[in-house]
Amino acid sequence: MSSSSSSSLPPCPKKMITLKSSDGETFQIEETAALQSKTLENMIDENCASTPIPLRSINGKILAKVVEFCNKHAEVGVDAESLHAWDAEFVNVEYTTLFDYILAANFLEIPTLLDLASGVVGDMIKGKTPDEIRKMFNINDAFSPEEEEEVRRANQWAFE
Amino acid sequence: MTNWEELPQEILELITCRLATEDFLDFGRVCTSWQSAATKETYKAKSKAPWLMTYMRKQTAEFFSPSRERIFQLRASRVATIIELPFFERLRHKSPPTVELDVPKKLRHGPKRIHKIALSSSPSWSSHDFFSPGFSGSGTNRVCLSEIGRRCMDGSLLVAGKIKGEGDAPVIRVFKVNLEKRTQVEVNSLGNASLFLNYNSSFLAEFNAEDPESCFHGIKPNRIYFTDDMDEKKIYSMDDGTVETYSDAAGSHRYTGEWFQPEF
Repeated sequence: MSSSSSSSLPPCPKKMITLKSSDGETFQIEETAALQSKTLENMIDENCASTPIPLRSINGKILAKVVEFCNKHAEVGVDAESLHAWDAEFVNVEYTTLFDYILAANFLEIPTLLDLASGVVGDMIKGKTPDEIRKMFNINDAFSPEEEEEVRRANQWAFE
Repeated sequence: MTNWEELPQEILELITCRLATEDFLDFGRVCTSWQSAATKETYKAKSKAPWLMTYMRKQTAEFFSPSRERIFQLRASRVATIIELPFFERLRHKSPPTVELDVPKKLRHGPKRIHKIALSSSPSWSSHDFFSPGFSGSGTNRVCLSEIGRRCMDGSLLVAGKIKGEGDAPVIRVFKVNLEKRTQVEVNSLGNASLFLNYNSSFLAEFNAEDPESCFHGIKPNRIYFTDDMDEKKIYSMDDGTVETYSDAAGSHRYTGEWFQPEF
């Protein structure tokens, strides 16, 4: 499992798979670490992982980080607290990078990374007005004042 | 190209399910794509810090959120039908079963024996299983409970009784009444929860211990939020028995109205 070989177990060659980013960079990742991605797991199961897997929607910079994330989370013997701190540092990035993490995690189906990154977005939204949120994420497709009024009116919330 | 508006729907929903009610409402007002991810169907409240309804006319109601110190205006047609109807009337219409309740002996004096009763969890207000906790009529130990009240939780109710203490300061005592076993135990602490007593509905709000920051702001645990005889919002502390007037953080606005736990 881990990178440190145990003397009590027979040596087992690490199975590696190769990922290829949209800009042509290749990355090696241990199969055990790659299994955190449901997308990659399916490809491994279907024996489609013997040649470099092209990931056309993920660039090299992001793919490197995703591989790093998977490796960290495949490590054995990391206590929850330090992993939590490591995660917090991992997502302490610019909005655009965070956005790319989310899309990559979604494409590769890595629930841990998806939860982590969307949680950060949730935290950033907390306590902000719609205007502040739009500014923060550079969202221009705001409602017109009339539309906004309509949205407000259409809020058929009931208090049950 | 980073385009937050075009996040896939399932990711937007993943984000919304982490939001408190207030943030959830604001989220839906950011843009059309986000709005579609913030609907009644996708709402899974993380925090349900109680709100104070400050205004209601026809189908619009305004709620003050203590945790955000903001007024939220909502269309709330179903609230209207419920809160405009005094619960006694409603109970009479439905002729619910009546449960005999031994009033705690210590409370058997004064005109107001049982001031309020609250379910040990928030009651459901959908039309068929509506339960309105009520207070007893003067001079009777009978308390009307609708069917749902009896089935709820472990059959326990919290009974809050307000009596006059030294001076004119009210003392509120809380008893946990088990309707099945017909037992009652005085509750000295609400722990991580607070009771909200209204004329038409009352509830116990339990705060999320994992995320106290989002819940406790503006609302304190182990308190009883009630309305005094002058129709003013008061807070009774179960810690030390002190009573204070509820106002916003700046102390500039004193509110009247009813407490609600937002639930869509």
